[in-house]
Amino acid sequence: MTHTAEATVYIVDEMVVRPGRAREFLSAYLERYAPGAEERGLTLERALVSPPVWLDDQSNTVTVTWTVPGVDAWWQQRWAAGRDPGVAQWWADAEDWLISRNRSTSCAVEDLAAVTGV
Amino acid sequence: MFEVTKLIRFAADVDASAGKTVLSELSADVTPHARRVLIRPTLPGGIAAGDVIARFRFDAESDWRAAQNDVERRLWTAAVEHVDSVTHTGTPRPAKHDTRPTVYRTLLVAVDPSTDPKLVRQFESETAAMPDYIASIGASQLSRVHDASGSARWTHVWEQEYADLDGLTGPYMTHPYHWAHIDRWFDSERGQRVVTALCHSFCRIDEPLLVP
Repeated sequence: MTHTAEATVYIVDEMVVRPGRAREFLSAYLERYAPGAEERGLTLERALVSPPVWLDDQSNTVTVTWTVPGVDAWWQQRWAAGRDPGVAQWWADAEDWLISRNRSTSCAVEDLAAVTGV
Repeated sequence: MFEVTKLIRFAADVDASAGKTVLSELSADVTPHARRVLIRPTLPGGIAAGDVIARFRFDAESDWRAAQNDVERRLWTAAVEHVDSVTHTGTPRPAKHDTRPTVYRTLLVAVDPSTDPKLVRQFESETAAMPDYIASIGASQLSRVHDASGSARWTHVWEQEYADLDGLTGPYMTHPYHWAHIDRWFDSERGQRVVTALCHSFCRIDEPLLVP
């Protein structure tokens, strides 16, 4: 049985990039943001590009999925990111590339009962 | 009802007796005017929590105004390094269970003043709904702030009671309605943050505070 602390938490960044800049942005994300995220306990699961072709005059959507092993680990990375001015600086700098961004936090449906304590 | 909450931090070099004297005099100043006075040391683990929570309930704002000068003067002393202070009016939401509360928690938040009012109302309704999902929350109250002072321009007070400390440090923190949903209003990484500062403070209580 999965316990609350062990349910994998998925952190998904969905980012709509200004036309023609998606490849450059994803490269910066992976070089500047990802190493610190991994130090905070996140594991990079995948990075998706939609549509799967680098667009010149239109926007790509870049979707990056991270995992953390449970709720305690989620809070640890949350507090660590909050204490690190480099994280805030990264997201401020990212505004130059992005039209919009959203981070969602989720679990597998089979883990819902465990994480809600029901 | 009209309520006043102050998170009081003493100077690092103040001795315990001096701090106790300040609080005793504070209580004497406010008690004749208040319906209810809580002055309690904070429990460890807060954020910008202060050393003491002082929460006063008055029948009317005029009762607070009658006490205000004495209270503010009492706290204007070298023994007190910092005070985060709010006045607020809210409607307590009763607990869903009869368990007697022993822990009171207050959260002062500052919502970015440029936030779309629709988003502020969404933040308020989602926050006030936390007891619908998190069973350890007893009585609760979300209030908008009238007057604020301290380290930020505080806009809201989110108060809850718990049967024990585990209810706050356990289920309140581990329930996904909090960390996977409400926390997006607080987390700059999610792109939806509206809260720019907070004080998270809690203390022991002997009887319920959040009552009609």
